[in-house]
Amino acid sequence: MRQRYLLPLCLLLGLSLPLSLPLGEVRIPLPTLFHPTGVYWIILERIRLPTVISAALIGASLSVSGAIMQLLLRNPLMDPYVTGTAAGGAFGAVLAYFLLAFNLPLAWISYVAPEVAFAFALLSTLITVLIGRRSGVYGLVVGGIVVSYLFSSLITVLVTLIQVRFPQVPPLEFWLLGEVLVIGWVKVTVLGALTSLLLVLGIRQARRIDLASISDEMSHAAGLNPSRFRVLWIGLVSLVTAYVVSTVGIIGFLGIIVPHVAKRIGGGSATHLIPSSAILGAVVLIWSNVLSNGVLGMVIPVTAITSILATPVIVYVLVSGSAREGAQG
Amino acid sequence: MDTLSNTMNRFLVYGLIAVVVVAALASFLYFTQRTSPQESRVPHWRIVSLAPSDTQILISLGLGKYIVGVDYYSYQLLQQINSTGLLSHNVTVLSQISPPNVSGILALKPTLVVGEEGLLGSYVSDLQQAGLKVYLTNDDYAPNFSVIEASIKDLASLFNRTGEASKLVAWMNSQVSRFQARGNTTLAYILWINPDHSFYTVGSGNFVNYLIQLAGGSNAFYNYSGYPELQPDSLIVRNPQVIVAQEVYNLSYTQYLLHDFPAANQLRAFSQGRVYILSEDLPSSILNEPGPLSVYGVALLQDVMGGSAPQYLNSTWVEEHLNVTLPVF
Repeated sequence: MRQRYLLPLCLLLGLSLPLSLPLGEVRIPLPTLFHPTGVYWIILERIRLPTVISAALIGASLSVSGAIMQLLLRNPLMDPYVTGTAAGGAFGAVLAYFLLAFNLPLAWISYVAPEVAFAFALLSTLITVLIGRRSGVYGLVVGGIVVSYLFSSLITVLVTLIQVRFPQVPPLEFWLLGEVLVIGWVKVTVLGALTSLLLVLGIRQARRIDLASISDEMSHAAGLNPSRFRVLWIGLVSLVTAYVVSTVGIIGFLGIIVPHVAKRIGGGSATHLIPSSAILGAVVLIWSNVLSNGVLGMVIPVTAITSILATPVIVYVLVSGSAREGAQG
Repeated sequence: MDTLSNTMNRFLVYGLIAVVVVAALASFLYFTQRTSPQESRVPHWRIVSLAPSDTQILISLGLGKYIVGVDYYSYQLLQQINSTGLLSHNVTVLSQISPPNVSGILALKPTLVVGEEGLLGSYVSDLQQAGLKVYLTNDDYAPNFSVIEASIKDLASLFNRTGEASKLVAWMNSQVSRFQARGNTTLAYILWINPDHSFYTVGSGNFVNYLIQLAGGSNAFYNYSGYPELQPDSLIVRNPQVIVAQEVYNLSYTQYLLHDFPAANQLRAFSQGRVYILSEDLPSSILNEPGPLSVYGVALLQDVMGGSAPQYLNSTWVEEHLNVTLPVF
């Protein structure tokens, strides 16, 4: 009966997808939406549809990842980037352009910058897991912070050098603050596969996630090794996040805010939290991306929009004391 | 008596002649001695110029030999037109402009620091507190040649070079009238292409837009202002006749980005071979740095729109074809 909340959420998602299609820098007239021809067909088929579907998939995957991280690490302010994935991915992309800007060996990798970002996102996760392997949950968290700081500092150094050489280079907002603009269907297919994997596994393992979120003792009693279980999930979440970062850059706060709102709607257990976070995350990112992608007359990095949305939620979490409870949890 | 009278008259005449000669000699000596110290008062100007647009103006006003410090980009521009010899022989090249290297500037003991409002505006009080005299122009945001000409006159008045300023302005006007053309070719000027194919361009109210109009073109994005970041949808809908893109890191990477542009083969500019790439050195500088050399920007764009320019416009072509020289008055 509690899953009754899913129907309105699905309805909201069902409406958001077609309603957001005509909105963007170039508005597609509504009658044309049903019979698109000429440039409108090109825009719709090659840019708008892949972008809107990608926004939904990314919103779902980041929100579900955030929800799972918050449960497994027992901290309500955790997000999918906890292992330094985002900073590592962004560093990989910036490094590729740095090599190109200075015509250094391996400069050709800039042609495959998303793949380089993906590789570095995985590398940063691996370093974090190695740091935190022996010291448990908080070792992972601290390791993630250290790795994030390291890669962020390296990004700053590289960006400074690039901008001295090429002052006309705009700030690398694409990688650092996220922009969901997906052209063609290849990336959508990969995103679809990864998001499905995350959702299916998340729903199937929901009870074990709940168990690991309650206590390590109970998990052991139920035959679950919580440390290994966490590391496996962190690995999967980081894999999905790494691909997201390599495709659209870093989209901040979505993985924090959506699970909190979803918790209010459907409850806090993984069984409910995973599907509700997925649908709500998809809706939030679709509309954040509409605001980001030129509907206001300019392109605004999507993290700027999600940050504005996140502020009241984070304040609420802190004021309501959930954070403290979580930390003690 | 007559003889005596005649003799006295002769003495009087000789005396008068002698007085006149002595007076003339005394006057000559007096004035030559007065002018000598004046000539020895050669101006002790020591100028630091921190923007290519200002450096161009100062050199054209004949003040190059007083420039003791110059920013890296100004020096690069002068290298491109083989004119570094116009600067003081022991000129210091400053690589840090914004924030400015205050200690480095102080060490040059300048009598005046000239810079751009956009780059130095927020650091004026720091520079003044360090005891430096600062003069800022706003040429980088000039919407047309009139603003640059006003800036030339203002700078000239600081150095008693109003005559030179008039000559420079007359030279610029004559060059512009020489290159000016009528027409209505739609041109999209792309400043930078991001990895996701969103791009930065020029809207109305800025200098490149004005140059496009002078060269007989119509800016495809005139309805935007400033330097907007747009998505590929906008370029597809505008479908300009000509696309001029600045080099992104290097030629082959720029060609790759353009070739990979969504629906490229369905855009007029691509199918008719009217896509031009400007190398990041001299061709981009004469368009992006509003100053005396910008008059060649009109000629360059006219050649592009007239179809007589090659598809890759590098410094060699610009120098040979447009004979770019910075006049000195």
